[in-house]
Amino acid sequence: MIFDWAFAWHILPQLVKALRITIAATVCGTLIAMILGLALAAARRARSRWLAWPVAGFVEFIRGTPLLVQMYVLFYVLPEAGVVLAPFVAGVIALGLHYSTYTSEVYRAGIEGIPRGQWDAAAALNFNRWQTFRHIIVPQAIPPVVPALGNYIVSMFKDTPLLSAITVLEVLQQAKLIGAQTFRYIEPLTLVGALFLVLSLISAAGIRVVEHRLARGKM
Amino acid sequence: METIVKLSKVEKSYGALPVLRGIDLEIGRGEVVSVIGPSGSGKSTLLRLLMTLDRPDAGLVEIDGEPLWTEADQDGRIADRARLRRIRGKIGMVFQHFNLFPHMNVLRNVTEAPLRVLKVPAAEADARAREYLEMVGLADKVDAWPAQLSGGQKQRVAIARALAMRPAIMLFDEITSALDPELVGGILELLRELSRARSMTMIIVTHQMRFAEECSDRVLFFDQGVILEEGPPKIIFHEPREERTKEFLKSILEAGA
Repeated sequence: MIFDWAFAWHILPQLVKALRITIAATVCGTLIAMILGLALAAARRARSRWLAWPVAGFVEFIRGTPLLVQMYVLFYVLPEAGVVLAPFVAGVIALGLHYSTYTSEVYRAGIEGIPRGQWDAAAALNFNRWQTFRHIIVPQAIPPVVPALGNYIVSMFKDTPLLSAITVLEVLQQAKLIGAQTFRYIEPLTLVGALFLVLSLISAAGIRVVEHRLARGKM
Repeated sequence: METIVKLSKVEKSYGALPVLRGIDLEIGRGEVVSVIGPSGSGKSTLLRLLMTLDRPDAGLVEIDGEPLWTEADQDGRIADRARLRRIRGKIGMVFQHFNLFPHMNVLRNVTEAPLRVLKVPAAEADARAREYLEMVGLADKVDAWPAQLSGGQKQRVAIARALAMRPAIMLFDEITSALDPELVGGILELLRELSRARSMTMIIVTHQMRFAEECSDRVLFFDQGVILEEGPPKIIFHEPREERTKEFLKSILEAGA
């Protein structure tokens, strides 16, 4: 089997177009994972057991089951309960939900790393719990965990091909379609790998820049 | 003198370790009280209870006639948030390790609570913060970050930060203990000025005996979770009644010599 550069060049635009779906899914999934993760981390710290325990159970359940199964459930099972989601929407929710349980653990580590004296000082200044969390604890807890959060973004990005399993026309699905039509798989699949590699490296570099900025700004 | 802080039969243990074993205490409005005693004798715990950072296992703590904890309060929290915030609003605290907010510059450390808690308008919070920072001698450091300051400067910021909330009661928890020796004097001088104004009730846990003697109206000697002896500084430092007090003062003097 010989790699046909002309054919690769020919199909590249189609793949790049599908890549946009991949990137969009990553961006939307990241937003969900970052915000929901922080909310889950906060809820697990709640004083009320009626909130903290169910949330802890939810986090462990989602972390302990495969992302692909969760996608199938959202896409194929929920309609039976009357909830019909577009493939992209179901996929993004699954990605965001799944990774929010990982990011919640990262946030939790960041929050637990804040010395007790900071909580004491905030209480002594009469901040309420929400103000303490929002203005004192979280701004200090996040910068140290940015690298860990970034790793999960890259990891999520590389999980987006799973979306092809629920018919989202992302880059891998597009490559498979091209393969099925032309009976050539080596070029589309190699290109998919290369595109992922390039984007992963770019995002890793981007995360390092953010990390660096935060470290400098903190002093 | 009107009573502003009152403790009756207050007890507190951490796990199996009893830290306060029946404290009865009344402090008047505007009074300056120094608390001395060996480490582990419960001095800091007293302040943590007053600041509502911890709750007592038994007994009653009243601030301005209002009980801090009641039967309705479970799991170490005050059930009535409005009451908790009203009481906390009367009390300020300065900590041994400063506990400045490292992600905010000096000015912001001082304006943050007046802005968010007291809802003071931004311009006023700013002016107030600069006023207190000038008072503690840091007018030129408003834009600095905590990490750029010496321990003494950090503690000055912490004092300004607490003062900016205009508390009726100020708690000082060994505020010179984490400082290099040459920085202690400046902080004590500042504390001295505050105590002279007699505008606030001040409770000062300290190992600085000379300071306690010069500046307080009353000295409490804590030993093993009880107030073993209390009285005017002249009596406590020169004619203590209890043998333990004498021993403690002697050991401190020797350590200082």
